[in-house]
Amino acid sequence: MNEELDQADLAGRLDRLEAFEEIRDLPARYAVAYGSLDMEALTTAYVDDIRSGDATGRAALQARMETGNQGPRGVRLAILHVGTHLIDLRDDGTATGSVYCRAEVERADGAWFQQAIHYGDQYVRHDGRWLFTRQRRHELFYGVVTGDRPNRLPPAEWPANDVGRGTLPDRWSTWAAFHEPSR
Amino acid sequence: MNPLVPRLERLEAIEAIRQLVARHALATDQRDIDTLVSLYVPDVAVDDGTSGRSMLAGWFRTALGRYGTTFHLLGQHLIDLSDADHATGVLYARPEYEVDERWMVLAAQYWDHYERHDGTWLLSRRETHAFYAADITDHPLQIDGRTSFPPEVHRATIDLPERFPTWQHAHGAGPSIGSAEGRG
Repeated sequence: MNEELDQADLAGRLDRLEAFEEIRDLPARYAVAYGSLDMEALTTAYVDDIRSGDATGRAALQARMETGNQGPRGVRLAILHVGTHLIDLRDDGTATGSVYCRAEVERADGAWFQQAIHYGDQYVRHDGRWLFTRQRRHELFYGVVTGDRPNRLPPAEWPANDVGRGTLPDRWSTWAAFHEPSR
Repeated sequence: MNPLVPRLERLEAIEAIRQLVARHALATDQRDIDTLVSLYVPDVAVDDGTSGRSMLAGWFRTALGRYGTTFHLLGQHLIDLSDADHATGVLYARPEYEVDERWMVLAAQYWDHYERHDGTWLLSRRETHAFYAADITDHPLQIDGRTSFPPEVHRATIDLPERFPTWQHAHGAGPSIGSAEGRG
C-alpha cells in the first residue's frame, strides 16, 4: 500500500477512537460539574455559541442555570450516575448520542427523589474538540420518591414535576410497534 | 503491515464491543427487536433450544412482552480479547423491569461472548447472573432466594456471589440470609 495513504488511513482510524473517548467524557464531565454545582465548568462541555432560550453563549447558559438553581426548586445535591452511552459518529464531524442516567437529587425545599433519565445528545467537533452542540434532551422514564414504586404514578410532565411517569418508553416508535396487536 | 495496525485494531475492537452492549440495552428498552437480534451472530443459540436470529426474535418478543417499562443502566465493562475475532466480557448492570404491580431491580453481571463477523463485533452468547432481583421496595437479603420475580418471567440466575470460588473460599458455603441456594 502507498505509504502516504496508509498514514492517512491510520490517522483517520485514530481520529475515530479519539472521538469516542472525548464524547464519552462529555456526559461524565456534565455529571461531575452538576455534582459540584460548578455551572461554569458545566458550560465548558458546550460549544461557545450554545443557545439557551433566546440567548446565545456559555455565559448566558451559565447565568440561566444559576438562576434556575435559586429558589425552593434549586438543586442542592445531584448525584448523576451515567451509563449505557451509545455514540453514533457521522463523517462530517458531528455525532449523536444516547445516554442513560440514574439521578438522585435534593432540592432546596428538601425534596429528595430519584429519576431514570435518557439524554438525547448532539455533538460537534469545534477546533478539534468534541462538545455538546445543543442543550441535552432530558427525558424521563420516571421520577420517584425513595421507597415508592413508579408503577402507578401520574405523568410527571417533566420539567413541571420531578416525580411521575415520563415520556419514555412510550414516545419511541419501536415501542409502539412492538405493542401493536399483531396483524 | 504497519506495526501500528494491530494496536489500532485492539482499540477498535474494545470500542466496538462497548458500543455493541450499549446498543443492545437501548434496543431492548425501545423494543426494537430487529436491531436487537442483528447484534447477535447469525447462528445464535436460543434458550429454548432453537437457533438463529428469527427464532431469537420470537423468543425476545415473548420474554420482553411480559414487562412494561425496562431500563438497562450499564456500568463497568471488562473486555478480554482472546484473538482478533473472539472476546469475552463481564458487564455490570442495574436493570429495572416493570412487572405488573412490581418494579424489579437487578444487581447483575452479564457474562458475554463476542465474535467478529465480517468486521462487525456481535454477541454470540450472554448469561445473566445476578446478586439479587428484588422489588424496588424490598430489602434484597430478606426475600426468599433473593428474588421476587415470578419464576416464569425472568431467566436471571441468582447465583452471585456464591458462584465465585474465591467468595466461597473467603466465607464458606454456608447459607447466608436470603441465600439463593437451590434457586435459579
